[in-house]
Amino acid sequence: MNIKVNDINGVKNLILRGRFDASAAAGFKESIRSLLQEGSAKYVVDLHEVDYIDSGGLGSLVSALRQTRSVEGDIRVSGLSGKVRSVFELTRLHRIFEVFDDSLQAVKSFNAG
Amino acid sequence: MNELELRFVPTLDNAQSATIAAREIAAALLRTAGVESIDEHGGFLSEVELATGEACCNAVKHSPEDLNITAVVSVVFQLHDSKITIVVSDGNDAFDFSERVPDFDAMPEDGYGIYLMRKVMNKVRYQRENDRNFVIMEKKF
Repeated sequence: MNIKVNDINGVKNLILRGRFDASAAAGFKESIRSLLQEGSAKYVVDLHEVDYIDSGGLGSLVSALRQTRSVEGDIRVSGLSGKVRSVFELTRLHRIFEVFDDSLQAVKSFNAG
Repeated sequence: MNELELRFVPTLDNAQSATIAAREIAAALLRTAGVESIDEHGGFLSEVELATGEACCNAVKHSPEDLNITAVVSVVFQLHDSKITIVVSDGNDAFDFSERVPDFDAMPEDGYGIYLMRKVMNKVRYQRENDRNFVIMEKKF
């Protein structure tokens, strides 16, 4: 999985591309860990180019959310495709994460709050 | 009955390849069964891919660091009249395959895999035989 990071008005927008599975989980956790060390606490994880997610990907997202919320930050997700949305709903993560149609809406939600 | 087998050394990269292959094999079996429009079965294939991927990753997760021949993971695909059976087996120690629903509100970092397998397949069972674990999953099409 490829991860590209943009900064939009102080919010880190992580654009994930490919398969977000167990083999990608460590790389994602490491990305969040190093961004947290830099002092960032507001994240949008854009999943619109992710075509597969499994329990390994979900677990790393939840792990990152726990770390981020422990420093009063948050991770919001955007761009869930049908397949990814279905897995989010089965595991009820759509109730744990704030979910937006696209990254810009998710970024705006930080700035509004 | 048509039957195909995939075998791999338990690494996460191999589990990923096996998962991608599982979707393709399931599609090929559907064609063998006379299904003409594979596109209409996209949901079926995605769920087979997810369940197989979870079972393969689970086998990798529990495999010994010192890989040997007994650690090889086998994925068998069987086509029956209107269902596909997938059997994922490994030579790891026995593991807990009980039917637990994760406490989602507690935001667990693991425990989603077996739950997802059970949710997307019609039938999932576990058996231990000859020092191997067998996860047997069925899905109707």
